[in-house]
Amino acid sequence: MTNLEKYQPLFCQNTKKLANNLVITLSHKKSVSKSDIIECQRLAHVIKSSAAMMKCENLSQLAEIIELLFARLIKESQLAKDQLVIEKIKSAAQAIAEKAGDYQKLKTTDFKLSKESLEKYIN
Amino acid sequence: MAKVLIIEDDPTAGKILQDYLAKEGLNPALAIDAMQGQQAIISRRPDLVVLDLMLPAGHGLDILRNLRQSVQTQAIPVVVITSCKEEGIRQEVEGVGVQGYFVKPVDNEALIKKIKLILGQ
Repeated sequence: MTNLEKYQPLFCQNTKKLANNLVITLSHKKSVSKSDIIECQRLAHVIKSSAAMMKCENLSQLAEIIELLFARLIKESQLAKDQLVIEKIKSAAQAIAEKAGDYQKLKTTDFKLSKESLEKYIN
Repeated sequence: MAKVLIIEDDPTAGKILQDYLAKEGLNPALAIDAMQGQQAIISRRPDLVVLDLMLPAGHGLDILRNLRQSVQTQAIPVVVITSCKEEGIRQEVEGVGVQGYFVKPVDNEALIKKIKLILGQ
């Protein structure tokens, strides 16, 4: 099996960049466009699969929830206009970015609060 | 040295795969979005393509279709790697024509074994 330990710093750096890009994309306009949401869905998708590969299961789960929520926002434009939903996603992305300086934090943080704040929107 | 083109927008996964393929004696190149991928297929004429489906600036399935529709590229073997677990997507991709299909997180050993088998190594 590939030794992935040496890629932990790169993974942390990339995850931080992806999470920050998510926050920036959701922040820079008064209302978020459909193309912005599609791009954010892709960013969440990348975080999800990257985290799974690097054995950060809780992070992968949170990213999957964010990805599913973006899929819902794409289908339901009314939900996409709900600023509270957008702010909760931004908050979750910020939580990821804050932990991304340290692989052990990314691996061991349960992201429970972030997951719970978003799960109700996809169920 | 066989040329392998990786089309993958995950920078971590792309780098790991590049390093792994280089270590196995292959000549890997990385494209990070659909447009770069399309251009690299034409300019590099790879011996094999490792293709992610969900990409910026396009979709992997469209790259695959374009590749199969051109006389110059239709014979290039393609191995798809994707996080998507839906059977419908797999059927659609296999309908267009691929030589391998892996769901992420990918076992790199199994992927390399498949690539080498396809390349006849």
